[in-house]
Amino acid sequence: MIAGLQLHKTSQSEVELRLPRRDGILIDVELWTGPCRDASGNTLGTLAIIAEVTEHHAVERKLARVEEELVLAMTQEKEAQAELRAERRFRDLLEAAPDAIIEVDREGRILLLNLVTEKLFGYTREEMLGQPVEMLVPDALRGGHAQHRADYWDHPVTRPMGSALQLHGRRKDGSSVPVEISLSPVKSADGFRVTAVIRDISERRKTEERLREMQQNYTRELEARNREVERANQLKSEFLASMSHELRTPLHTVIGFAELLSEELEGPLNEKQKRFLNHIHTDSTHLLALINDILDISKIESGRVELRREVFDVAVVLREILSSVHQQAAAKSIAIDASPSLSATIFADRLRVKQVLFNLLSNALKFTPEGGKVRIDAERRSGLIEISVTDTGIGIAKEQHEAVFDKFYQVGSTTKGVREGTGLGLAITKALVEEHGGSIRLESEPGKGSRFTFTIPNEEI
Amino acid sequence: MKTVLIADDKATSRELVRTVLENSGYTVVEASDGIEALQNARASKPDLIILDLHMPGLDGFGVVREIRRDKDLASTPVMALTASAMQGDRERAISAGFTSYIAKPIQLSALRSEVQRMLE
Repeated sequence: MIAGLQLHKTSQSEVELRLPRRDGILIDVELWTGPCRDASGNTLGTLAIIAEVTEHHAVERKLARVEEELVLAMTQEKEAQAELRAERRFRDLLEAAPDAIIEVDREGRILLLNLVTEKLFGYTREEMLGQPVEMLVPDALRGGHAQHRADYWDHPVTRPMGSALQLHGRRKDGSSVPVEISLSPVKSADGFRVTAVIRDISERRKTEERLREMQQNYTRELEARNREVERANQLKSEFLASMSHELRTPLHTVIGFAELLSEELEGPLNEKQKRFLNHIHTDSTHLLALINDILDISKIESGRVELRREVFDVAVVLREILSSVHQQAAAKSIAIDASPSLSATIFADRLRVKQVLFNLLSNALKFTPEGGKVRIDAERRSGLIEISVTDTGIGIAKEQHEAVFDKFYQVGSTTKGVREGTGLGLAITKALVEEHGGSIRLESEPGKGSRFTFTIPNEEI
Repeated sequence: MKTVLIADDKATSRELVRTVLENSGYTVVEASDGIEALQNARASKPDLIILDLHMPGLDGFGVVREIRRDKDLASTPVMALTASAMQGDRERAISAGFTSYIAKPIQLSALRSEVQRMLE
């Protein structure tokens, strides 16, 4: 019917349709339509071709299904592989961890562990898996561990276990190993678990122990050295005390016989003999003062100065001292101006206060040129007595103000007719003032004299 | 005439004190150590005993202890004479039974007045 006809593709159209057959079954068809022309190109009419494609479609759908299944299978395979890779990575991570890692379920059974766990505790993987975690807890603490676990379930947060406690794990052989444990809750598809990271800290403990030992050794050494120093100091003080005794014994007779001779009971002396005897007496008395100073400083240094406090009047002590230095002052025509107004009772060591005043006053006389002036002021201030000794002497340069209180410090030269001292006077003076709870200070300028001021704490009596 | 016993292991010290005391008109008995001091004290029953604290053998403290136990001597004044100048020496001496304490080197005037005071 259609032979000889040319179907011009260019103008054809194609439609897919589902049509009912006579028997009512739906069939898939393809309908092609297009213009029908003769040889010279004249359109004769429209040509329609209907072809059944039901079977064809069925094959196509099957193909599509197969393809879908294939894609699904591939996806699943890919996912499985990814999961496997993740699992392997997790394993690698677990096994590479430097710490023992275990996972425990709610009942305390070990579900997972790594190689380090085996090494740390000495059990094989098989021996531990599924077993209660208490097998790794020291015997003494095992009983209480279940309660600790229960408590952790109530507050499942990531935290170190038993912080501030020294934790130990129990090895298969019963030995114990110092550990540090941190716990973290893990929520997984199959429930709630706890991961414990257990770190073996034996090395750190050993290091700490070594450090502690070193420190103890060091402390012991230091203490031993301190004791040695103390002992040496003690020996020095004993030596000085004994030396002082040994030196005073012959001085006793030197001074005594000089005094005895000068009394002329054994016969009259000529002027020269008297003068010589006087030299012996003066110098041996000076030697005695030096010995006393050395004894004093040794007492001070060994902390054996004991104050014998009593109530006395400062004015009375001042008068006593003035009379004892009267001669020294007169010899250099130095006028001593003592504030007469003060009459204060204080509670202090009378002899020591006297010694302090005497030291300051005799220093003032020592370093003040002939015809100079020395003044003593005493004042009651709140809670203390302040006494100062001012001279018109050679003065002391600023940079030496601290050093004058040092032991064995000696100024370059004294003024005419004065003997050098031990260099201990001001060190002793300062120590005695401080022993009383007071303080001493110096104001001075070269050529402008000096003022030493000391205080003695004194509540109103 | 009052008698004074001087015990000191240093001969020069004994001579010094003896001279001072004899000049003042006292009779002096000497001892050069603690044992001799006790013997002489028992033999001569002095009115005053002056003891150096540091003597070989029985020292001044030992002698004064024996003196205080001896009913014939117990009431005799005993003076300590020492070159030691440690704090607390005086108190130690007094509590050990000494009546008086004087430090070396002595001032002659101080020795004279102290002896006189003891013998009043």
